[in-house]
Amino acid sequence: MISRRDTLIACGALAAVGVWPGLAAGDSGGAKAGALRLALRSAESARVVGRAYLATHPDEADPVQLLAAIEAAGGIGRSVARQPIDPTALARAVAGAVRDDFLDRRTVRVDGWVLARTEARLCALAALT
Amino acid sequence: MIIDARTMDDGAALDADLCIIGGGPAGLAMAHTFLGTGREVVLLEGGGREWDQDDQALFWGESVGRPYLPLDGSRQRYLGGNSHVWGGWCAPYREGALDPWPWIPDSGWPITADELAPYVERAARLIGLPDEGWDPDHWAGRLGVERLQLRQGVLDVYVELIEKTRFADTLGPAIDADPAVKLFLYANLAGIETDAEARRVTGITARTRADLRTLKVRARHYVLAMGGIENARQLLLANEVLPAGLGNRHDVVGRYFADHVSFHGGILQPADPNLDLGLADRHRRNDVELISQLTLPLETAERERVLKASMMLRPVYDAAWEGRGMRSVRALRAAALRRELPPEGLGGHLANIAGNMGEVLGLGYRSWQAGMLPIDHVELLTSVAPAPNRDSRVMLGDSRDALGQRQVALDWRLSPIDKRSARFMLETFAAEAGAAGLGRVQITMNDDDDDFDDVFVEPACHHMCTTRMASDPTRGVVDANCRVHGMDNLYCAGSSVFSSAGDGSPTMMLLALALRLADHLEGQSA
Repeated sequence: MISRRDTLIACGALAAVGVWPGLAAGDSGGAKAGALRLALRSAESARVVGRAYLATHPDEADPVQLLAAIEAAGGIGRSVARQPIDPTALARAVAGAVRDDFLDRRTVRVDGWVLARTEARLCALAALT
Repeated sequence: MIIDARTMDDGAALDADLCIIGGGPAGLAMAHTFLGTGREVVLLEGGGREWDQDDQALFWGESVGRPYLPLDGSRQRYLGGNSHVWGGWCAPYREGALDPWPWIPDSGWPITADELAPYVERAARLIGLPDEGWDPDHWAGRLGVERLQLRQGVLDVYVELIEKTRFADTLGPAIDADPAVKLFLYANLAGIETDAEARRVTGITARTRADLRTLKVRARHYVLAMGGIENARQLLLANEVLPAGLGNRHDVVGRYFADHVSFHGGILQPADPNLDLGLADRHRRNDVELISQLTLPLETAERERVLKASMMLRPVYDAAWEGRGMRSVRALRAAALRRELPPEGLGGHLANIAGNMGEVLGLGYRSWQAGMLPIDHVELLTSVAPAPNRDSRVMLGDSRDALGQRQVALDWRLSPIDKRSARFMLETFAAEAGAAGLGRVQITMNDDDDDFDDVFVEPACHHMCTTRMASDPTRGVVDANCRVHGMDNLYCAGSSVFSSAGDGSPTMMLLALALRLADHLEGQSA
């Protein structure tokens, strides 16, 4: 069961990435995932949400595929490809992708919570890495 | 002139131009229209001036379908009728509400919104609403609040003005002063007599409950204005000539019973506990009280083949605000806004505040800092005007009341589209709220449209559609003039004539229809 607090922390504050300095350098998938995971204010809350998402979307339980899907959303891919990663730009890209998901109805239901697909996948990535 | 029927001679007979049965909002509004015209009007009210348990018991009935509120508790049998418990919410039906919707069977009214518009204005004046229209932007400006930043055209906003008019108080004195309009209290309808073909009412019999004293009324026209359940019941009871009851040659009387329902199916977890709901909150100022709701545009309803559901946002404040001290602060604040003392007096509240000063000061400081009360979450109450459902119906039960009449049995039903529409509304709001950064929505109802047990479904006690208006007598009981199909001089008034539930609180609309009927009958009498 996802608590209201978990949802709020994991999904309602994605822009909090701006507080993280010195995101991991390099262009490996692991570094990108790390950077994206830091886009979530609380990794633990994100993992709770992510596990619930993966329980209903087991076909997405692959970090490489998840990362590719997330990178394809909005400008996230460009933000994580640029080195060093600019946390502010990444936060903006994630927030934009989430907003676009909602506007275009790319939403998923996780334990009743209506989430943008991108934020649900970010949480799933946090749960897997 | 208001007369106690218990003071009349047993068997007294009266003649009138018009006999209205039922002293609720519709009946009183109609009688009020005839004041000063010299027309002889008899208005029969089953109860007295005050609520009485024994009178109320005449409204008892059994529920044989979906669980419903007690039928003797969800309507009021005394002068003024349900206006005594009316929340006062008023809004005209919105664009397309009276039109047939191809994706909703049996939808559509035989009258247009334009025909009804002047009567809606008259009804608004009768209620005492401010003459400022219904434009959300006007009211936002008037109150100095913002509208939620949601995309217009995806979710529309409409305003409900709140004015708890008690019609016995506002219309009763004028009626009492006119000798041509005779309002009898404690006069319960006990029989409708007709000619041999059941095409014309020849008279009605009323009885007092306590001593079964009889009053006979003969009139040119008769109007049943007894409420959305009782109108149908009385037509079904009048079965001496036609076994199925008056106006029931096509088995429609009592069918299509509808009530507005609220699905308690979701919450908004705000991203910011100091979320300002703006116009979407309930506002009460010195001279005006209102609330606004979100609603699906008609185009969206058509595209998605759902009903035009609406949604009210009800903030639930931080639990700390529900302490005894803060409850008293809120009660005093509400009373101050109304410029009146709280009904339970000042003493208890002041003691509560004094005894919980730490709580009050601490939270007061926090509120002052934040500028408003911190919100824990927001309940999302999704209202639906249900789709016409022929199997949802009022019938006669086996038990009998104190007058010896069979009591009512209510088989209330909802349709899968009702739940689907509520859920679609939640999903739409969830996406818009997410995009706007308001927070995240949790939908707590399941996706099974036939399962109404997983969600709290709250009826509004708006009893509607049981003598619905339709041009086709196989689909309705009354015609566009509210005349019972197949009868010359019997009419219905009130929400029983609604063709469909409509997307707003019914009182102002039923008043508009009653005023329109009064005009029609005035033309018939001329």
